[in-house]
Amino acid sequence: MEKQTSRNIRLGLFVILGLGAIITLLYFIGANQNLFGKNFTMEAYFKDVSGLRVGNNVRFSGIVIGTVKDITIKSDTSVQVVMKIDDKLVQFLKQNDEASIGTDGLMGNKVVDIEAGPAGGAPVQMGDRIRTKEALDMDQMMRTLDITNRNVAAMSEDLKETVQRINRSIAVWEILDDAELPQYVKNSLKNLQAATVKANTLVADVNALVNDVATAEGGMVALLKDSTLTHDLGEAAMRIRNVSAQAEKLTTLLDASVRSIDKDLKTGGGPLNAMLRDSTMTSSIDRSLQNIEKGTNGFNETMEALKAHWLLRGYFKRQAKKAEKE
Amino acid sequence: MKLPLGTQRTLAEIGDISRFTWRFFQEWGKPRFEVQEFFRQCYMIGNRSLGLVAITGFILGLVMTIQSRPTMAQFGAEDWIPAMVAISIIREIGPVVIALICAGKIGSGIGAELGSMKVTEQIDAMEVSGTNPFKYLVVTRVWATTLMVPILVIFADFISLYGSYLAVNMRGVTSLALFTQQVVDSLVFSDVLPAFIKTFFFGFAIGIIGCYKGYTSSKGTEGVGLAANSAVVVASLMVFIIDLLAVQITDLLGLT
Repeated sequence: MEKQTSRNIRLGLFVILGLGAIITLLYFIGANQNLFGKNFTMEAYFKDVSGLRVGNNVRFSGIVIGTVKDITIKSDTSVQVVMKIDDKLVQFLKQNDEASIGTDGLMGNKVVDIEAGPAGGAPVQMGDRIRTKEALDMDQMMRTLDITNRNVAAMSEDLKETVQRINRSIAVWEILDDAELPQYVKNSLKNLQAATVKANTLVADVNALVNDVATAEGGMVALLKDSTLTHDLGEAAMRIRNVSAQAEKLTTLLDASVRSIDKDLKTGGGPLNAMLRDSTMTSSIDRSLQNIEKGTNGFNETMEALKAHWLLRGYFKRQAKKAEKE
Repeated sequence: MKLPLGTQRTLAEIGDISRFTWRFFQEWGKPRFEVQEFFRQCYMIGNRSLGLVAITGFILGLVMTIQSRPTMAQFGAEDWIPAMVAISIIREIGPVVIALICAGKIGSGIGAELGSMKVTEQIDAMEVSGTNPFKYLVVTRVWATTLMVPILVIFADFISLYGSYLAVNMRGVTSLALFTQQVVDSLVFSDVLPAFIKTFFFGFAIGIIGCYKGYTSSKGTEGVGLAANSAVVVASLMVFIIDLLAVQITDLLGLT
């Protein structure tokens, strides 16, 4: 009886462990398939689900958050995909999120990828429909690749022609075949090198010179370095500028005077203008001048007569003697 | 029309086995229930086979993993070894191999035990003493195998997955957590449940064939060996036939 009880205990342990194992396994698989505690559903309409099946994963930001619960064809251009989402993760989904059909790895199972929309969307509600976008289509890729291929083919055709032309070209081959050419090129390069060396030396010399100038204490340097001189020069320049400004003013004034004189001469009623313009006056002046001349002549005669007069003869003689003395 | 003798014998045996099975279903619902004997048989069949089954399962997982590595490496799919091994062991290889091991150990044991009881006329004596030998001997054993083989298979599955984990770590480094994750990720209910359900049928077949062979043995001590031998052979064959049926049914039900 003792033995039987211990056997029964061991049997019980065996059975419980076995059942525990299968229950654990089933639980883990269930948890993985989102069959426990996942009541939230939402839907998306696709034009093409490219082989998506019930039970495929739904991913959000690359993390599995649920599974595909149902796939129904609604019309010839739309397929309804109902997704079951983990209750705990629903809070992260927004109404403006976008769903697309993707692939797990290169050849793996299809998945529904949900991408977060712009910030500020309202949280999804039970049964909401979210937007979708067409995923990378293999056919589309192949079509693009086909165009690329054709372009590459055209390019290689051109390249072929280029190569053929190069092959046919006599000039290119002449250059390539010329045995002396490398020597020439080499010589040129040597000359170039020598020139460079010289240029280098020259630059070094100039450098040294500049250094000398900078460090020496000669008059040149004093000139270059003296700040007072600069100041004086500046002042001098300022003065020259002032003088020239005044000269300019003066010139302007002179100009104005000349202008007004000219104007007066031409239009005004002054004696000068009258003299210039009035011929009658001119002739009268002429006559006056003739009269003055005649008067002067008469005056001269009178003076000669006076000299000869005895009363005044002594005075004139003294005058003459005085002049002789000097 | 006269069928060849071999065919006749085979058909007669199939008929006998069917009748025996029918009798089992007739008898098991009737009192009195031999509970103590049932537990004893469970212990003998379940606990006593665990060591053998554990070693078999461990080696199975280890070998499967090592063998599939080169091919998987050719595809650059070494990451998929845990998933592949898990699916093949849990869906098919685990149940079938463990059922065959059980057919060898339990089926032959039952066949030999009942056979020797038959040829020493203990069964007849039981009947005379008022005990229903069919209920006491056959029903308890068949129930014991039916319920214990699935549990043995589960243990073997787990142990062979552990063996696979060790084998994966022979060449690479995979944490137990990652391995478990990869295994659980790859499995779905339709992998586990049909495989689990069919092991009940395997257990039932092993029990019923063993009992039938022992219960109907004859020809003295020679018959005991024959009963044990043919119990293993027919039970193994039945395991494969049931496996074939199970695969087709699961396929028809779309549980692939």
